[in-house]
Amino acid sequence: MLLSAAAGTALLAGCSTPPQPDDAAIPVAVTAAPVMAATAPSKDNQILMAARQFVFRARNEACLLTGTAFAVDGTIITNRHVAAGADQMDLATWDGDDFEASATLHSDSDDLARMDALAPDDTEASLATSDPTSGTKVWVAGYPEGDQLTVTGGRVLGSIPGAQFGLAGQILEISDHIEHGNSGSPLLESDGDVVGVVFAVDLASGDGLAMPASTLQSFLNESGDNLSLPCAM
Amino acid sequence: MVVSNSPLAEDEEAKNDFIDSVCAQVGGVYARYRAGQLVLTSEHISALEEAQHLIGGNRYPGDLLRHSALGEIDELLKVPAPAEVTSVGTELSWVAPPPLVAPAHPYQPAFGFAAPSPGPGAGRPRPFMAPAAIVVAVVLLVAAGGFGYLSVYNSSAASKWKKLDRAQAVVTKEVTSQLEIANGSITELNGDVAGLNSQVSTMQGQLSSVANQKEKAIDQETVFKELLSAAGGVAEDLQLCITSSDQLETDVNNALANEDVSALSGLAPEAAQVTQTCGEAEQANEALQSLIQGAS
Repeated sequence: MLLSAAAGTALLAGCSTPPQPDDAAIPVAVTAAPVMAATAPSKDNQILMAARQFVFRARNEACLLTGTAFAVDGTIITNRHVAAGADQMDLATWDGDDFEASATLHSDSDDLARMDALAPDDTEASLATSDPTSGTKVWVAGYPEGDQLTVTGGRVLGSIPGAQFGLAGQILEISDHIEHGNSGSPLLESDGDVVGVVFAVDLASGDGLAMPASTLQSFLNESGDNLSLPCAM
Repeated sequence: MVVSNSPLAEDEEAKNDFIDSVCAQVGGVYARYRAGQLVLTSEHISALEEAQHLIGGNRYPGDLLRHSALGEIDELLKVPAPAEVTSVGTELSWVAPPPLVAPAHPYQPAFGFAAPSPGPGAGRPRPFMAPAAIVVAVVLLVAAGGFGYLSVYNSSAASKWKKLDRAQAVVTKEVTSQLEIANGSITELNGDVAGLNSQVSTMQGQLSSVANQKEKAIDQETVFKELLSAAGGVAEDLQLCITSSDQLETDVNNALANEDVSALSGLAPEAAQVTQTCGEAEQANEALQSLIQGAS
């Protein structure tokens, strides 16, 4: 009786747990469907899709050569040896949208050139605030052999003085596969930021060579109109 | 009388029997009083009248038991009938007390009430016992009522819970069914999205390939333009070489025909110029051939 009264009091107070139903136990098996069944794109593919927005094919008609250029910090960057000898460069997006760029500055100390262009897309790369360290995973996005936009992955192998190549500052050695036409390609890290600019291949080791982000940042801060350079052929 | 085996029915039967017994005994006391066999005080008479009133009223034995009149009746019932009245007064004096029989079925009230003991030591109940019993009875009645209410409420709440639970189970089943259908749709849509993504990727690859062919064509066109431009220069240089050579040949022939040795020796610078012109034309031609080979 007391137990019953206690139960009744608890019920009146609204403090008891609802009784377990004995005739409404319907087994429920709710299985959530996967939101995305499609396989996630690989990192290479993600980098490729990002690079399509700001990496261009560069053609130097005057010197009959092609290379790569990319948009960063409101300008177009490529190698000096790609842009040398031409006042105008023909640029093209990955899907064949052509536009012209005017050379504005060739670096004296580094293999870098700056151009002004009215790109079809305002999208541009962001420049990393620090240089990559050894072992960092990096991707090269460019147009090897003047072919389609390609992304190749690799790692930073180390840093060497650029003096042996006639360049100022340090040079990054990378394991990414580099070919002709990759000149001027941005070196991207996993989040898509530019950490360097590819300019050559070490024929002895086969390693790629790139100027680090700090060198590019210094060049972006330069001013001038040093354009009197012959073709690099 | 309704015959039933339930305890309540048995209590009711016992109650009625007890009341009948009390009625009979009260009636017997009255009869003996009217026959002059008993001398009753005014208090006795009041008690009997009150007992009759109670019995004839709601006939509720609890009231009888709790009522002080019962003590009076009980006392009367315990007094044997006198054989003869020896005196008249306020005191009872039994001549031949008739044996009074105790109730055949003394009522056993609920909640612990005991029927008044007919034994000689029982006597009249103490006056303070009746109010206490009433209080206890009231408390117990209230408690019983509370418990009853709680029991009914509990049963009602349980019934409501069960109804709610059944309704919830139905809703859950319906929602589960809808969720399964939605899951199927999502899976199907995911498949469609994956297919579309694959198609988009394929088309982008085709677009890139076509764009590449276009750029390659432009490259070729650029090269051919450069080749044409270079070929034109080479052709002019070759033509100049040919013209100069022809002129030199004419000049040499004229000098030989005139046997003008000095004029012949004077053609040396012209010959050197022709040699240079033709040499440059030859170099340009070789460069052009190299370009053509590289472009092809």
